[in-house]
Amino acid sequence: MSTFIQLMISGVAIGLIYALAALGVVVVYKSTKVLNLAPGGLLLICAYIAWTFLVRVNLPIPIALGLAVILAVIIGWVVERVALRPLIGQPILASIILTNMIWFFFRGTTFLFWGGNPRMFPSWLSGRPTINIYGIGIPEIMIWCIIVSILSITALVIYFKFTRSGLAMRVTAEDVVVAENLGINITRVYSYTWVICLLLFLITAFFVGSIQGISQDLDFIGVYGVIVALLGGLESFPGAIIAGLVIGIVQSLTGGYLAGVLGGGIAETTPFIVMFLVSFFRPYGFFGLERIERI
Amino acid sequence: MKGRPCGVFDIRYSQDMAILRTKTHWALFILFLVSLFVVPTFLNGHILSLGVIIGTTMISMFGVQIMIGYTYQITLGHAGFVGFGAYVSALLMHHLGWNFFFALPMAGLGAALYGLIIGTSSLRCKGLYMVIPTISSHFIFFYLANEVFRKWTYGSDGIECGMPVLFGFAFDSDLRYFYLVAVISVLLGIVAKNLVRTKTGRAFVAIRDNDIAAEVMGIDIFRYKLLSFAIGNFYAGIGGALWGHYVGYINTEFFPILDSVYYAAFCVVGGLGSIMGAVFAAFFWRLLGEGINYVAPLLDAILPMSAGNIISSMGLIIFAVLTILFLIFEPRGIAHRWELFKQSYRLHPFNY
Repeated sequence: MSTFIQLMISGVAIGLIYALAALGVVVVYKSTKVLNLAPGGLLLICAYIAWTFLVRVNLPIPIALGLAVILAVIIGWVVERVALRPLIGQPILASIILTNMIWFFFRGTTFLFWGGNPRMFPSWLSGRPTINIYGIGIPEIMIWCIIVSILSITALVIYFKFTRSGLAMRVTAEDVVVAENLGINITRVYSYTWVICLLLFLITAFFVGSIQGISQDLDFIGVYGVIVALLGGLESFPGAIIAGLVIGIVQSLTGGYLAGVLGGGIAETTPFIVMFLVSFFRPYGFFGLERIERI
Repeated sequence: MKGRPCGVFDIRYSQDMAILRTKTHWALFILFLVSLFVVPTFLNGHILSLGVIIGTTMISMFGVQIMIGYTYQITLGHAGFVGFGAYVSALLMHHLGWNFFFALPMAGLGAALYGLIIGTSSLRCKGLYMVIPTISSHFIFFYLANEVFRKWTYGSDGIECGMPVLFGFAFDSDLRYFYLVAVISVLLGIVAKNLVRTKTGRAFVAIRDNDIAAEVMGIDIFRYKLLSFAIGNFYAGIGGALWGHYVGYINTEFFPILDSVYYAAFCVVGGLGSIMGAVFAAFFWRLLGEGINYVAPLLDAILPMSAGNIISSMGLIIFAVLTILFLIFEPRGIAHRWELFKQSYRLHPFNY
């Protein structure tokens, strides 16, 4: 029983990370109908930027985080301006390949500048004690992770539901041409989207870096983030969280119980098997909108 | 309407449909075939091995072209199918002692079968959601090769691929293997070129352009989507098997997820919806890769980063930047430029 609870907890922890990474995908899809396959690369660049300011230059924490936020915003704006904007209105294949190439570009640049050695974030978050609730040890970082993901989802939902630019984003997602005719500045919508997306990835990268350190393997979190976003439904924030938890727990449980029977690789593969099976029953994910198509 | 050179009139339907229409076409085609078999005797092993790799990539790329360019089943798992084919023929030769020329079609059929299983999800998924099953297929392939069939594939230790032998004639040198790949890729290229002109190919194009309209017109879209998966992955399997037996040793690290994305990306760079585009894509990809391998050590002297970093990251960065530039400035790919060139050549002195 205690192994089960321990596995559940580690599953929830990794699931929350996937969910945070998936939020960046959902935001982009929800407002611009672009499937963002770049989280791997964007997580890498955000993590290395934060690491550089926090550890390499060793600035005070508020200044370091402020600088990292500013750089993330700049990167988001530049990525949108240089790569995404010329492709507004192009077929989906173009956006899929484009975002993939953004992933590879940042994977390449981070490897070029920072090399392949694993790096660690300062331990003032990961080194916190484990909290005991009825004899079950919960690492404090997980609680922070839960708080941050709930906060970011609330902020995103409020932004999308109640602000004018959030409304503009929803209109743009519905139909770019109509949105433009209604006087919505869609280039600004695109910019805002990518800036928000990069900020979410910065938060995710910060947590991942605190939990397991930074290395080139970080882009696998990105791949799982995409999978989680697709499983939860590309338009749904709560869906991303639920799917993240499902994938995290399934992965952790299969890794814990079935690794001996089915081989060590099963933990990495189960999310994909689940995904493949779910695509037969709910191709749009748990909470995705089923589009009704006409000729 | 395609422009015809001045004085060329199609007076029969067969002339209108022919791929090689004029005497010049035939002359160029025969010249190409002759030079394909004469020129390699003067080339050194390095260029020949590059040629073999281009040829095998081209065969796999025909498959991507049929799947993405003609049926619009976006596949981000093609390298997985390539690896699947390579493994099938390696296993058949290693454990059952089959001849290469029996194992090669089986590699194609094995990959096609795997593709059919993955393709059944196209019943519900379409458009961008096809990313799910195809990416999954790649990771499931890793799992199958590394864990499930570990006893036979030796997991990450990799498996040896046998030498192709035909009636006691071993394809053991670069030159002989180049001829083998050249014959197979030309044959499969001709098959692909003609396949997309048949009823099947027209059904694929109808599904690509609007699948609901295609269904309304009475095309069994599920059947044709599956057929597209099977044919595309048959090509992938053949390409993978040829590549594997050339290298002589494979494990799953030779088929990374990056390659899957590159297959789709370079298909767009080459030009979607044209078999010639697949040829351009293979040349562009492999020649560029070769150029990067050549340039990266030189950059090492200029840039302050360590040599290992530059060599591993240069390819990623340059491929990414070039693909993005192609998407922005020439989304119809190199094949479109080639058509424009041919058109202006045909009408040469006049510009209409």
